[in-house]
Amino acid sequence: MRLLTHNLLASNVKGAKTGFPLKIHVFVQEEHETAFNKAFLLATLRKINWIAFREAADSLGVPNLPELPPDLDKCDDSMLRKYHHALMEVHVKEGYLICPDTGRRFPITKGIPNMLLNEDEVC
Amino acid sequence: MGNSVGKEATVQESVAGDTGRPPRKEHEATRGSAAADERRTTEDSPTLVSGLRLVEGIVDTSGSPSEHDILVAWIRGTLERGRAGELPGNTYAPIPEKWRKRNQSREMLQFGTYTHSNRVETHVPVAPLPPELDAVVDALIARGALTELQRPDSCTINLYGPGQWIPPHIDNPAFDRPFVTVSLCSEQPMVLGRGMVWPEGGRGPCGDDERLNEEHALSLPVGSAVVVEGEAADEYEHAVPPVTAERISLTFRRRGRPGREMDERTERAERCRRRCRDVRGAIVAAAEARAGGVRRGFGPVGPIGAIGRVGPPPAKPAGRREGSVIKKPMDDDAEDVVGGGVLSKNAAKKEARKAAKAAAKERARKAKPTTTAVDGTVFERKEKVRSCPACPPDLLPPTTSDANESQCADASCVAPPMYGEDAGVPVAEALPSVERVHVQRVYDAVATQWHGTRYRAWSGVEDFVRRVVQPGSLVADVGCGNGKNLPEVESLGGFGVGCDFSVGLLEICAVERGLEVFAGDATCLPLRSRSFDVALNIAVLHHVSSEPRRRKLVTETMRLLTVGGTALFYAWALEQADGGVSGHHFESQDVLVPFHKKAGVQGKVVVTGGSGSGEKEGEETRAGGAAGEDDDGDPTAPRVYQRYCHVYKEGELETLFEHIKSWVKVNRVYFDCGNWCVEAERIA
Repeated sequence: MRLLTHNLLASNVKGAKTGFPLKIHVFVQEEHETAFNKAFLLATLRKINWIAFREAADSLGVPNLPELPPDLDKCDDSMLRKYHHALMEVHVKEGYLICPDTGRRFPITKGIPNMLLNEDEVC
Repeated sequence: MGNSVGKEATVQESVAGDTGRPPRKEHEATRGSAAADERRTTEDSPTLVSGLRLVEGIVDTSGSPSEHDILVAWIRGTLERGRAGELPGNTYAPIPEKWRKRNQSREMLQFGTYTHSNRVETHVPVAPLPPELDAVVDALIARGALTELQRPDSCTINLYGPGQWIPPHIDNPAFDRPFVTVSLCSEQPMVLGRGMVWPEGGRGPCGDDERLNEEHALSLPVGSAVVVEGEAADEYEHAVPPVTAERISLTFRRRGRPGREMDERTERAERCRRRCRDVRGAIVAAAEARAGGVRRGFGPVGPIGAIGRVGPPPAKPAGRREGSVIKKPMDDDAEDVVGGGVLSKNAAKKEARKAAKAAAKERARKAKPTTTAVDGTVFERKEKVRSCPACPPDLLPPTTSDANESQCADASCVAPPMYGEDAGVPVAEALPSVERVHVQRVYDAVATQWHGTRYRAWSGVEDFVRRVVQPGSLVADVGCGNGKNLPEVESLGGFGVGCDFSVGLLEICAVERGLEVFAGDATCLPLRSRSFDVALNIAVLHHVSSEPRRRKLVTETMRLLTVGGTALFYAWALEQADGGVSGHHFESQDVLVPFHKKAGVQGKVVVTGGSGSGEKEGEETRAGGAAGEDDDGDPTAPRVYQRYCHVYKEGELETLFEHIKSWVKVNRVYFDCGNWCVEAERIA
């Protein structure tokens, strides 16, 4: 699971209010080089929730992202590459996603978050 | 290579029918001068359709043995090696069994790029372009058929035996234009048209509507090259009628680079393909109506079939004089249907309805298992239809949904503001046991084998993806299965996230293909609202067991989109002409579709999120003992799994969008390869 995927996920367990952003608890993380595509990155950075991205990056040990969404028109390539790395190259292989409202843990196995719910967790 | 001066095809205009109107400008055929052999633009080259050029004498036929003879000998030798299994990968392609009877295929040798049924499959290995063909390529360039920049990187050699033919098609837009076909052994015609239907008896089935059946024939002399680009390549289908003598053709093409040019070409070709299909559907439906519902065509042809699913034409064109071109101008009235671009929404819908009705008729005809051909030969029709029994009603959730369920579903159907950026996502509901046992578990158990046979996106889906995905597009693939739709998204510069409830399939996505996926319930997606540009919902809706849940699935998929975002839905149709593409026949709308798991194929053993934990033994027994996962049995033993499916009647799929029409617009409804399809856009 990349942080871009994380930025799109939300918990829908019974009792959740927004279910977003999910907290990340990591057991195993990997880095895989991905081609840097500036057009893609700029388009994507405009769409993501920055706060969730920054917090998630923090929890994966990729710190020092700006507190607030950067002005993308003024970002130089080295900054963009940093965002690219955090968003696209860091993968959570084993761990948990945690619902911010209920604390429900969703396991991540082989890089796949399992958001399926038990019968007593649905309405 | 040959020194002979290139002759242009002489063009003879013959007006079929009595319309008395001048042909449309772009079809204007003018008499050409047999001038110099230098490269011409299409403007000064007299051709029947713009973008078509004939350059003769590419392969020299004089002398003994001639260049032609030497080349043919090499091809035959290579063919022998291919038959003996000595060529690498899939360089040699035998005639597929299912086409043998209809002669609708040829033995093939492919170099550089592997294609199958006009699909480019880059992962299938074939030999590179061999040096023996270099001389031909050099001659093509020297004679101006191609420029050096257009130097081809692949060649498909088709070996036609007498009677063999190639149905109307548009060459895959993944290949650059122009492409070139060199003809050897015998002079045979090539036919161009838009919506050609080739029935028995030598006359179009359209009778009075002959104007619809636009057709131009061009004879291809031995050693000549026909250069195809522009309108001829992407706005006409071309075909080779049954050949009267052995013919070898060498089609040289160059793989294009993905980009704007290819996108535009794809869009253009796809528009034409649809138009041709609609015309064909209209012609066949009209013929059927006249024949009292009995179509006496050749082969298992439905009006709704993809390109090329029509029977062969009469052998008549083969007898035409060499170098002559006969053209039938279209009636101007046909403009609305053929030339006027995309059909209006209602017209398209009407066509789809008509097509589906014809398909249903086909099915009704089933009692008679033979088809009579042109010459009176009676063929046995394909009887390999897989019958799918009705799903036992007690497996299905109650039709009058209990208060709890309907409340849940209705709540999710309210207008979208409910799902604002910060409002969170709707709370999930329980998966009905039929979907858990007869869908989720089946896919988990058969994941590996399933994956092995479905490695590529359906072309209709791929076309949609190419049309809407742009660099930076976020794409949700709801019910992604083994992820076959996602690589295309990536190659277009988009980012795809797949969701499925079969963890077995997801492991294939993530581990084998490195795709971004998660496990989730498609009727209640754990994804933020208004966060995706594009959504795919392919072959998912037919696994959902109640109408409220189907509506909810649609709502959920649309909820993910930003305003202006589009989604594509595909669901299996009840109407399957002659068993359709997949050979299934559905006895009811709620059916169990058997999946035969082969011995030795290991199902993925998975633990799902737990919704299956309360499973009772009795449910599997009730399912006829052939469903669900057998925990005690040998996971590698062969067995039949029953997949639950709800197949959609004509007109049914779009009704699932009615309750959200305040914020979702259905842009297109159509039928493709046994599926009903909807393209919908979020408008608020």
